[in-house]
Amino acid sequence: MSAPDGYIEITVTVPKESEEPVCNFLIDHIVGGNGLILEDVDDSISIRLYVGADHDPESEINRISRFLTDSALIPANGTESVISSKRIKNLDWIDVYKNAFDPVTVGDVVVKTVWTEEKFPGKHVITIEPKMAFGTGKHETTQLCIAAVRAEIQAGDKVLDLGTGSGILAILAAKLGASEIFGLDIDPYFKENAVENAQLNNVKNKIRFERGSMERVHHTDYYDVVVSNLITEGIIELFDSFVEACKPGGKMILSGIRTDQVDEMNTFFKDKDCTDFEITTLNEWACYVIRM
Amino acid sequence: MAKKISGYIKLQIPAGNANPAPPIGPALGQHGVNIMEFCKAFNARTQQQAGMIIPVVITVYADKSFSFITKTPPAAVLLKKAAKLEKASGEPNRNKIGRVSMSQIKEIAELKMVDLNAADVEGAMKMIAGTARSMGIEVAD
Repeated sequence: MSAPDGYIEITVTVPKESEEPVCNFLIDHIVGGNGLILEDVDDSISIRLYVGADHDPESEINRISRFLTDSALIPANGTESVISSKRIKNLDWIDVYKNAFDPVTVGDVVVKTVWTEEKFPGKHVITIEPKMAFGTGKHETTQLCIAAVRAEIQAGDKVLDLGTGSGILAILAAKLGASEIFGLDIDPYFKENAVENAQLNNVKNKIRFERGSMERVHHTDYYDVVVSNLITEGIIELFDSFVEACKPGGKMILSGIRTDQVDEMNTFFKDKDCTDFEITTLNEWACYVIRM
Repeated sequence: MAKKISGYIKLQIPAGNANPAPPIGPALGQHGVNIMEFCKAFNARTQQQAGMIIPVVITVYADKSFSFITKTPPAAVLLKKAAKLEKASGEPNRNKIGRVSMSQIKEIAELKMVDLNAADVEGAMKMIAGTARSMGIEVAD
């Protein structure tokens, strides 16, 4: 649908049980193949649709009202209150999205998108194409892990990144001089995005990405640093296998832990004989750096 | 993998034909989701069903990454197919434009069970029959 003069956005709110016939009517008689946006609002469903600005909003609203009344889907006297319309500008929605994705700075590390032209001299710049995989740099746990990776990775380190997502932490490790990085994730769509991001940063030769979890790690006492930004339950479940993969004297960077879970995790790590750790926090999220 | 959900976007859009114009552009743009990436992935996953309207639920994570699931076609779409109609009635009470049998209703109910909020097939059949009536499709006993 191309509409140089913009669009009319119409919102129709109906009881949830009327969703199917109302959506069908709107598709058959109002928007054609353009589709609808549905939003649950308590027991109702709010349906948003768009028609070209050359349509008369009054006549579209009348057609919808007539259908609702005629099919007895809502009380006849309630039709006015559930339909509204407003004019919106025709925007380049992709530009709107791109402009909203500003670079993220963590210390001297900058995460920028592939379309950001700004240069960041003197910084470690990670370029990503934000897609489906987790790790766009926008989440607190990613930012905490970026700071920890920046502080802990030494040139020549072997690094395991479990739950690598977009590959953002693996890429940073490579840029900081790690010699060999293994990135794993169970997300079925992560790999294409992670490999693409590694290529964008010219570190593809240092990182191997595979789909799976710790069952794919066959080395024992091998990695200098194990990085894992999961959720607390995932960390607890996989922790023994992290210990096995990590060299004695190595380090673990673990996040995805909420600040209200820190007491529980302190006890958990101490029970595992890991007593040398530091915690950093950002808003409601915590990150552990554990020295083995 | 560290997925923190920030919201859901529900859409009904044409299989194999998603594009950045409304409704997809504003729906995803509002949540900061990569519009082109969604369109590409959705079109690839639904190209076999081209021509059908497909309900899709997009899960948006806290860092703007996302995943999505496609659902079975709406009952209304299946009813139109069963009654061999291109469009449903715009005035369903006054203008009856088609007819389906109870066994067709049952067939649709069974297909839609996975996505319907119904306790059993009988419950699902009632919902489907109700949808049929509000489309101007009569249900023959």
